[in-house]
Amino acid sequence: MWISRITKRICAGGGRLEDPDLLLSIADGICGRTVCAHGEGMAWPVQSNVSKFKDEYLAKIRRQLAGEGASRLDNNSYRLI
Amino acid sequence: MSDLVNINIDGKPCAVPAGLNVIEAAKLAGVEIPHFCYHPNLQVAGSCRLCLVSIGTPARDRATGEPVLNPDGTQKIAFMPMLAISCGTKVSEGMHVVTNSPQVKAAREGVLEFLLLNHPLDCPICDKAGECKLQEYSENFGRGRSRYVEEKNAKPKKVPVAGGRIMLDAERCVLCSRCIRFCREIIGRDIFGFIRRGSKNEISVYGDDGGDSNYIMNVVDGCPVGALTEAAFRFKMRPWFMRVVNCVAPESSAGVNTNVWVRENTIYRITPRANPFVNDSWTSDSSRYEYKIVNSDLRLRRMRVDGAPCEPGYALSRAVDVLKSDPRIAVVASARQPLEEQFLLAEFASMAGAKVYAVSHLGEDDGFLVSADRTPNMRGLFVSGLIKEYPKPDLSDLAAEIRMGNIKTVLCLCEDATSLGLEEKDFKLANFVYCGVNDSLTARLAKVALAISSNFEHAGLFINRQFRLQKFDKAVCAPKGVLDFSAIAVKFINAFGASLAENPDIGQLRMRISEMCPILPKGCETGEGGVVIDSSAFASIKFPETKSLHFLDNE
Repeated sequence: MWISRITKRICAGGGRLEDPDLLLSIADGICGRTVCAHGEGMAWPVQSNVSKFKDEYLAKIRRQLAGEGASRLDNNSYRLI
Repeated sequence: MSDLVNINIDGKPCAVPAGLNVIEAAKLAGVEIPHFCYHPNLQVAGSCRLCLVSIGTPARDRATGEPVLNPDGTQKIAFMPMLAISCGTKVSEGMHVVTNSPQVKAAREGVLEFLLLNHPLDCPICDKAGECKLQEYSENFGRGRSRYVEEKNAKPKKVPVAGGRIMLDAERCVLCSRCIRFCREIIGRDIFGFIRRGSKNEISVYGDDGGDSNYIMNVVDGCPVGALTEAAFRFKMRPWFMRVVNCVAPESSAGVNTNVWVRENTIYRITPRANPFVNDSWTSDSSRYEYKIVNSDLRLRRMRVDGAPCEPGYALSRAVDVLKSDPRIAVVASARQPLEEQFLLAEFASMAGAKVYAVSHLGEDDGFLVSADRTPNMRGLFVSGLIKEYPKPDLSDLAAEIRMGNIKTVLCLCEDATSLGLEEKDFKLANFVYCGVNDSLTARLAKVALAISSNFEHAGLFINRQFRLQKFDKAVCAPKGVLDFSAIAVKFINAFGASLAENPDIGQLRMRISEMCPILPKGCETGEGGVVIDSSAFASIKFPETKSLHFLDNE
């Protein structure tokens, strides 16, 4: 829930520079500690995606902070880039 | 179960009984492992993930089975790559447990942060504050600051359940499922349940909310957070203002151990005290409100002589006059008095040559913690030698003797004789001295009525259905003008020629009765959980209790 809310917020143009690290930290907090395998099933994609494409997350957030990101209101706004 | 295994917790070697789980073993070793869902008397759920620890076992070579050694010759410990829940892991020989590593610390911080995501953080207006595990663990093991900036989920608040006796605040719930498991395993039917999924998961009731159960309030004590609170106690008093007194519930011969919460001579609530030999961690709902007797309107608050209120000193001297007026005397003993007072009464009865009567108060045995005998200390009447066989539920024998003129004086303790077979005319045939907590028709008809302290206003000993001797402490002071029966009994005994010390100390009394009665331990020392005394002398007595928790359940 937390992860989805953060990513939705980033998509909607409200990203913060600390958000990618936060996403990773949340995923790390779930991985290996849940009783339910769905927890890991949710956390692994986040871990791999954020660690491999962190620069692209940050680039999008920086664009948003510069006032550009929020202007992109097309149907693909759920996309990160 | 009595075998010991050697384990190592945080580098400290210790021997613990085999079969324990790691939480209990660590508790024995003095290490606290935080937990929500684990409860010693319920099945392990393993859902809260707060008790995660790092666990390792001695490494063995897979091919040969030989122990693998470190380069310095010590046994190599193979730690599991993932953390394990300590509530669901049993100790084994040579196990190493690490509860203070950065990995464990990070896991606890993570779990607590997740639990607090949708928590309203309303401790200042939460009734559980001060005894809330979430509060304690957040303070001790938490991160201290949330990184959550999103909107929180709202869940139902102030939902009355169990017929309005419990308030449910789903927002504060940590989803430990203790209430679900309690109802399923102890009450025996599903009352609470989870609805929805993920972060919207919440505890709820549907249809049957347990209002008719006499044990549903135990979920309030079991609830580690402020999700389930007792409606009657809500916002009455903060837990840190109250003093906890160890007592035994006088409700029935089950002898449930209780904590009585007191502030400034007022009792605010009664909660169960864990005793693995008697009541585990539970008590009945009906035993929680017995303290109302202390301030009840039914209470006898003033001594009376011939129905007119008077000072205690005068009433006592009149009572002595009445008791000495005729040797045809009878005593009505009460199974609601502590053992010390029963022994004093027995002493009085033998000195005055009195016939002893008693009354049994029977009810339905619920097979758990309310037994058929609704008096806390019927066994005490036998141990103190007052009675030899199980008493009738009324005083018809005494009434017959009075009507035949064989009994002219009666010392009646606590029992309301008028509701037990005696009629108003019998009070003209014999002189009654009534000593009781409650005002009753008997107290009004008696020649002398003496107000005595209730079981919350003196310390004492009860012997429960297992013949387990248990002590309870004084919770509050008796109202002005109300005396302990032990002080009154000593006056009566001295009036018949003995010379006991006035206003006896409870320790002296206990030492004295343990010398008189060899089956009692010296000084009536009971320890924490009480001691079972030798009951072989009473084996032929037919007691009404039936099989229930920790009673006859091994047969």
